[in-house]
Amino acid sequence: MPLLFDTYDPRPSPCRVYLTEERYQHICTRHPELTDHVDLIQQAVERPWFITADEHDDLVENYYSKGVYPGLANLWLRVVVKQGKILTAYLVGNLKKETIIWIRSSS
Amino acid sequence: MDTQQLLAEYYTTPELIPPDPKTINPDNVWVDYDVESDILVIYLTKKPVPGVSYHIGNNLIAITPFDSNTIIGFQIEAWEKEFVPSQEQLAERWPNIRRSLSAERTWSPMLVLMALLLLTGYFLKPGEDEHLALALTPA
Repeated sequence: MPLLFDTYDPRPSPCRVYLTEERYQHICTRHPELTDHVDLIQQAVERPWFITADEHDDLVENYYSKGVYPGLANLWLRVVVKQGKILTAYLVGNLKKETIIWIRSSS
Repeated sequence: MDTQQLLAEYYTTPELIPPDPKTINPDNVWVDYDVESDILVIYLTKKPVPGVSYHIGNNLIAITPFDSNTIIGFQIEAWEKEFVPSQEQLAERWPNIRRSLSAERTWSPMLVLMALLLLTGYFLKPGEDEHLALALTPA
């Protein structure tokens, strides 16, 4: 499966995160605002503001980055990652109360 | 302002305007179930359009356009894992609907029908004066 990027997050023990072509097509179909924005997704996992434990699946973590979308500074990009594989991503206007497992030390 | 303080501002949901079920055109309902993420996505706009998602309930996410608070779609997280088992009638019918889907075919007429029933019977419930309110919690 072709990868659009294969990188690591910024935690002290970095975790691998990758995006497949198939998952990117999935994201673009369901969330067309992210078409042509692979770079934003990569930025969100390499430089997230914080990472949460998903409340529905112990193997899933959610990466959040704010203000990355052009012209929409108040929105967050939520990237859903299961064991390193990005499953989906979309813009969110509010946050869910999830357990934060890592947070960037400065904004 | 540190990051924790900043986050606190984003835990609230803005006032969102639910769609009127009477104006939902079945031909404009786009629905898709993704097995891998276990998320059901519904759009009322014939096809997905750019927008913003807002968490409005345990598993429920509303989608609005960038320039409006009117809901044009929904995402339901943990669809098979949590939502379907929590709804008795849906749980009975879901296996048949599920068989109409595959990795390559992530929608079917049965799925669209289910989405319509879900929209009118669960998310959007009639109020006392025929105004319709978004149901944030199960009936």
